[in-house]
Amino acid sequence: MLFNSIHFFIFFIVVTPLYFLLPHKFRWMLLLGASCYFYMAFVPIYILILGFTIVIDYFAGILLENTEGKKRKYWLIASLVANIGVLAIFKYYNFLNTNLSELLNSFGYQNTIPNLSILLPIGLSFHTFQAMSYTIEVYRGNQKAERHFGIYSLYVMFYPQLVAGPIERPQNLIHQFHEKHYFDYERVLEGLKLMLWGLFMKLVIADRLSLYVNAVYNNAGQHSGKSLALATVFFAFQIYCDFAGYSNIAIGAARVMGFKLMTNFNRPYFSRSINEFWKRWHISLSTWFKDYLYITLGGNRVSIPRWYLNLFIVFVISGLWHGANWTFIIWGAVNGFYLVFAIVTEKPRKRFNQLIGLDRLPKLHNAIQILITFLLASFAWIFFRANNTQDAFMIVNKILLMGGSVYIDLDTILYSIAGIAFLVMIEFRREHDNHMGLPFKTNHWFKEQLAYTSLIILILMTGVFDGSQFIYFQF
Amino acid sequence: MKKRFFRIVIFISIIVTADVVIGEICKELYLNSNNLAIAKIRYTFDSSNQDILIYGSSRAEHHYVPDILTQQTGMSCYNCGIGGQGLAFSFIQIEEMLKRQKPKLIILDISPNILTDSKSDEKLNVLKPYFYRDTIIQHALTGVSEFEKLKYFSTVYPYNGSIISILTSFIYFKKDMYKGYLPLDGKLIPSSVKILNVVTQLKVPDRQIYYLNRIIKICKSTNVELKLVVSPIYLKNNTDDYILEQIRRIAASNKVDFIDFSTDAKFFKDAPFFKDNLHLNSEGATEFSNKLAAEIGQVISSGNTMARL
Repeated sequence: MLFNSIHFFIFFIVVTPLYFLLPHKFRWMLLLGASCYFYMAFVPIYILILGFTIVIDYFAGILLENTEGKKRKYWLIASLVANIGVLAIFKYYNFLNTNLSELLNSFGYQNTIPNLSILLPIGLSFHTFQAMSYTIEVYRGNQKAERHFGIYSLYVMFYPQLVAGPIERPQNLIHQFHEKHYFDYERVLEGLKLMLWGLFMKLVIADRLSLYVNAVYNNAGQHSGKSLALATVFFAFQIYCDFAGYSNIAIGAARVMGFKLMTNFNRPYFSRSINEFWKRWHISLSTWFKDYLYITLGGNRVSIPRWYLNLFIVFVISGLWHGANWTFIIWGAVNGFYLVFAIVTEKPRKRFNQLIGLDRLPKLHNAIQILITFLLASFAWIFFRANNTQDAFMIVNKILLMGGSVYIDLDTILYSIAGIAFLVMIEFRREHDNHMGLPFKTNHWFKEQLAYTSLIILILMTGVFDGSQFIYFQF
Repeated sequence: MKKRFFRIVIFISIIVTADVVIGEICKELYLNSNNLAIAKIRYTFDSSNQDILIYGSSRAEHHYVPDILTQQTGMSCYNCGIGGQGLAFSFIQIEEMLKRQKPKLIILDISPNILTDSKSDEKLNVLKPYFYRDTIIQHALTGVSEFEKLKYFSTVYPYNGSIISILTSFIYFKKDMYKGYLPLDGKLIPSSVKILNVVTQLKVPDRQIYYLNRIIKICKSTNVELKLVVSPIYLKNNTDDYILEQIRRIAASNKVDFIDFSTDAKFFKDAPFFKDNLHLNSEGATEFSNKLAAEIGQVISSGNTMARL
């Protein structure tokens, strides 16, 4: 079920009042039933995969808590193998097998192992990572094993964040299912407003931008470097609005019922370095990799070359997490390279800024840093969006040459520019005021209502209602 | 509690008022818009009164010159073709037109690429402002989903996605229209044509067949002559012949004229007549319209209703 569908709208207005009407002890049943229904609206049979990992991790958690010594490690490994195994089969098997075939072919051998005819379950990487964080935290002793099977299932399946995060940690979420949430008018309103802002980001900005981006990227060979450059900038905003829009709806829907999910985006395009960008973009995934992979590899408490390697490994794996395709791996590697390069060149860059006097002009310096970070992130997005690696390198080549004329689809370009301008204006104000809350927060009640009314009218007037999926669902 | 209830009521009132007021403004702007597609839909729904009416997609819009057909047949003519639209849209146009007039001849351009276009249903969105006009339009826009109909409670929603087209049409005109015909300039570069070498035989989707049958049925029931015409294509895809054969069979079984110019020697692989693989330029359109007009003239004068090329 998509957040941007009427189906979800009806689902939400049925489930939410029922949640508050039910006695606390029955609420988990309602939420679990609703979450199952929500997930089964995509491909029903795939709920069995979720069920499999839930059962494994539930018992792994209890066994981890009840066992001492070396055995604990075995239970953790068993749980991780089960989770990663599911990912490997459904997400990476065909990719690995196809690459193996190509490798063997180049040596004159044939790979007789067939590919699997399976669809990738929606949001598999998200709920698998959330499940893994549970067993790791129980193993580390930061979280008690959850004995209530229904509550544990709900931790993995809670519908607002089931298919595209935020990837929660058990310490933040599980205890919330045990707590009683009362109907709080202000909190409900805040959640609804956040959902509305998320819907605006998705329908009005992301989906409008996608019309131009898809037209250009899906026929990259036919388009000029200028069109591809424009489409790349549009894609940077499209993917942000698509994913941050989803996160806002998820966080808002949970907040209406009294749950507090973690922040997933913090105006990433105002970052002044790639390092900062990754602290503001898809925060729940970045912190997951930091907590469970980067630190496990030794983080920065190792030799300098090893530190660089750690950073690079984390980003390549992060790329692979996004999709079983070389484009994602290259995207991850490019980001890893950015980070290592930034560390290596930190001192010379500082000296250069002093030399040209940029350090005495902090506002200009900030603006240049933001622009460069945006351009670097956008360059990396080329690999993320391109249909294959050949296309990606062709696009890079064409953009660098900047030939031809811009493909003009006047209506789409006008909608897109207006959408981006509106977003930047709102985010700039929030960045300036340094607040994480809602976009139209004022002390004047009537003004605020007018702002949200405008948002609703703009959604109705310019939103794309073709029920398009969220980009991150495929991961 | 009272204050909160009062605030909710005010908020809902603001939304409803804004929706109605802005929706009415959009409606007024839409009705006066100079946008070519919008003006054409309005005209074909409410005002066309010619003897010959041409329906179809962009290939209809750019290929049939009404003045030439009028000159050669002595009958008035209008080109109702709209870019990107498939048979569902043509059926709705014909259905709306037949409510108020009875033309002597309907020419329906058959385009293999549109028949198999998976996105042709999305393009029906241009009909949103006419949602409450007819149940057929409602069905075409929402399928069988009752959920979809909920969106139309809003007065603004029917103008969703068209506000910039409406507003920009007051600032500039794209091109002039010649009784619905839009000439294309430029010539095709043969090396730019890429032909799909799909081996599979592509079946025309049931939905397209359904609307074709409805067009045939409605024309028969109102005694309006219908001709299915395949206008010239520079180079056909491998699948095109199979697609057109399915349409030819439907036409034959319903005793409807099927005139196929897709392999006509005059146009086939003759780049100077084309703008791109699927579209004739103005020179090609003139040539084609002359040839079609001669064909129609012969048929009309001989009374032969099953003419073939």
